[in-house]
Amino acid sequence: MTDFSPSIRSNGVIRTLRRNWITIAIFIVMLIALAVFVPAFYQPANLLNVARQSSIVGVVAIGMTFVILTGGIDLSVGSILALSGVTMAILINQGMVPGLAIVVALLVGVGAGLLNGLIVAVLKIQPFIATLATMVAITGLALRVTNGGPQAFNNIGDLFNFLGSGQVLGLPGPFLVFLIVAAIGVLVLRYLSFGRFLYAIGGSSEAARLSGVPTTRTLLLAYAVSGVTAALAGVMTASRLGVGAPTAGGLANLDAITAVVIGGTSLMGGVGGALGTVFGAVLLAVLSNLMNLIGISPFDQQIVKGVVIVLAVLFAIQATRRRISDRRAKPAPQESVRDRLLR
Amino acid sequence: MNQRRFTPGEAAPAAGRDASAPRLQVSGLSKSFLGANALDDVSFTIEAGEVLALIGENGAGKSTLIKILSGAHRPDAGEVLVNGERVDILSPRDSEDLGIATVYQELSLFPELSVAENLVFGSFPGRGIIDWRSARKEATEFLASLDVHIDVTKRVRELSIAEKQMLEIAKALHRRAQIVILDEPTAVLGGEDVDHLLALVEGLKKRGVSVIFVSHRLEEVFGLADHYVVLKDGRLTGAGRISETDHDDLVSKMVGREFARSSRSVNQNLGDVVLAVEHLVRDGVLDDVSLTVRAGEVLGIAGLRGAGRTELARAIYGADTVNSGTVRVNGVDVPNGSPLRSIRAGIGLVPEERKTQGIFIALSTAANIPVVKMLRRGLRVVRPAAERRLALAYKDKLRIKVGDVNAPVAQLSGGNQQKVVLSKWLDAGVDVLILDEPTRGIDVGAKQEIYELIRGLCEQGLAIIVISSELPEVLSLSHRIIVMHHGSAVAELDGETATEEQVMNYAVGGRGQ
Repeated sequence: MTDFSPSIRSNGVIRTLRRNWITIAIFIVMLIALAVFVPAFYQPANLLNVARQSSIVGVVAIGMTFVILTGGIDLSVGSILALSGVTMAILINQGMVPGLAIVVALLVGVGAGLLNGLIVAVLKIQPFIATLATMVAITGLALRVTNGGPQAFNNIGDLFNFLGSGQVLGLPGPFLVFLIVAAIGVLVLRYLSFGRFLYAIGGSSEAARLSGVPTTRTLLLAYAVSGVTAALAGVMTASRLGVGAPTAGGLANLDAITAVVIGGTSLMGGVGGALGTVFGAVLLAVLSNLMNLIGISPFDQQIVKGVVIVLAVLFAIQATRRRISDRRAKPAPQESVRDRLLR
Repeated sequence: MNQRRFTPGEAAPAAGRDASAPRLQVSGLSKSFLGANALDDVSFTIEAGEVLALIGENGAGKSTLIKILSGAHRPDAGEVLVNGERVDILSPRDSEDLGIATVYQELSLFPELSVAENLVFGSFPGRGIIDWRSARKEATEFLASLDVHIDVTKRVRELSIAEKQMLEIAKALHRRAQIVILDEPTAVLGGEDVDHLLALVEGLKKRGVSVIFVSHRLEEVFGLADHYVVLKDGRLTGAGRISETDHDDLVSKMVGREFARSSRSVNQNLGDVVLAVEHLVRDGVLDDVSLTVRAGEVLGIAGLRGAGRTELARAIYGADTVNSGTVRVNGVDVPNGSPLRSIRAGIGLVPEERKTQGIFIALSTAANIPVVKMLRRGLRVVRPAAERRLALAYKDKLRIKVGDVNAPVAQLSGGNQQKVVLSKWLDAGVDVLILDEPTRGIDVGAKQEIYELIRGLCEQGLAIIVISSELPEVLSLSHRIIVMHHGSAVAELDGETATEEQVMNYAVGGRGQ
């Protein structure tokens, strides 16, 4: 739908905006329509609510963006989210310092992500299958360590408050966490060689390998990033509820993938970025909130979401077609002749 | 569909009205792509039961001709007559209905289906429900009648390449093909398999099937064909009875008589040996290849498609793992099978498949150039402003025609994309640069610039390997030329004195003059 790849920036954000003016125009029209027809949307309390709702899926989706940029996918994020939440709850109940328990929970996410990366990059199993398998296994692990029941823990303290439901500088804590994670994601993807390598692998893994890109290591890291953001989302969820639940993951994987796709990152890899994902996560939250406000039933909401996903992907295909026609228009005519002659 | 089957042993019936007319007649066939002639006024005939050898260099127009006959392209001018009747071949289906079957190198079998299923596909016995037992029986008998012995219950995936090709030919016959086009069938086969295939083609002749046989191996052509047709740059440069020609005659028709060597200006300042490759072996692909390249030298590698040139480049670069052999750069061993280590040792590769292997098509010019250099240290920070400056510097230096260095390289022409790939390696600073078909798909003007660039790099002391199917290119750039045939380096020629005929002679498996 939108295209936030670093590749197409000349003057950074300005060019991105110019290229995606249709999407942005639609979003602005939607916001104006909201002001007219559903003024309740702009109540400060409601806006904060939207921000909070976008946070957890948003955090997961930022990590997911790293994986999808390589042309992969991570279905196991929901189960990692659950496992890290219950890990933290159990450790705190056993008397561990909260800060340390959170660190351990995040490390669990890193470990699970590295496992995904290992299966994908070293054993060369398709990411869909690899993370489907770990999703099932990790869910099992979370159920096993909790005996299937939610683990309540004492979530009083500034740290939990910040991560869960509190407000800082007038903004919900989780939303701040999301913004920080998103900022790190944007910076890493744009300004670190690691980020560039992700785009390279997603564009063509053979070209990446032939350019000397350490593909195995890069993939391992990408899945580790997805694991750690999922774990962070798990910590946030548990902090908010005061419970580490083995079923907390729910459909987080699908929500995150939806946010990434709506944000313009191609499932084929190599195109997209974290800024788009932020946009996608917020758009999804706005949509849910809007439907709640105008009283659409939760069942119908799912139907609408499905339609939105299809529309978003349609937009993405249109954008790709535009690019291809750009490409066709440019090269000198002799070139294609020779290409064809030599075939 | 049932009526399309015919029983084994039965000669293919002549469908045309005029029994005395040639099986296939092509006259004045022309085809151009955006102004460039791919085929120019080509005429020939084939009689029933005759094998016609279609010969020419890569890009001579053979593929275009085959594609017209198989319905993939439509000619701009000229006509095709089958059994004396003028026909319009508008689609692959039309071609098949006329009894023309084309066996490409990339076979069109279903790998997960059995031999029998593939053979009878489209004309299944039984009504509504397929009678697999009679299908198997029919397949077995049909293959036996062709003297092809393959277990019909095997999945095609499990067959050897030779068996697959024979099955493909059998399938064509099962569909009552009268004209079978074989597109370089032996290029991918080993010795004994070639004999089997050639025997099968002999069998086709006896059945009255006409065969168009495309091959680069002249020894096969002499053993099998009745007539030959040579194409060069889309024109017919020779045709006649195979018994009235010889090896040298065919080679000179392939390369064309009027051959003006383009200006040669090679660097005269050669340094020490930079790249030393010894006894490189990759089973079935490379057979004990050794070579050296000195600083400031261009080593050309010639050979026909499938001779192992690209495989050699990939093996030296570490893109593929070799079974044995060593690669040394400046006397230091380069570990096998890792492009990253090869890069660290100072080797760069400009791959043949530019769009999928050379550049990152969705990334910008500015992002493409520093990719290799970024590997030098662990985690590096990307500085967009510096990348932009770098890209602008190379834009200037290599005359890259790019409007916006931050736009995806997909928008650039082939020549400019290739310059981006070269910039990447110049920026990385390599000692050895391997260029695989560096000017493929590049227009004439940009080609000259790429040549100038290669000469310039050479003067700067790089050791360069140029692989090319275009002989004038190899001849004008190289100090020395290695000719490959069937995975081995069969000859090493001096670039100054070598001729196209000489190179082609070795490339087709001859012994030179």
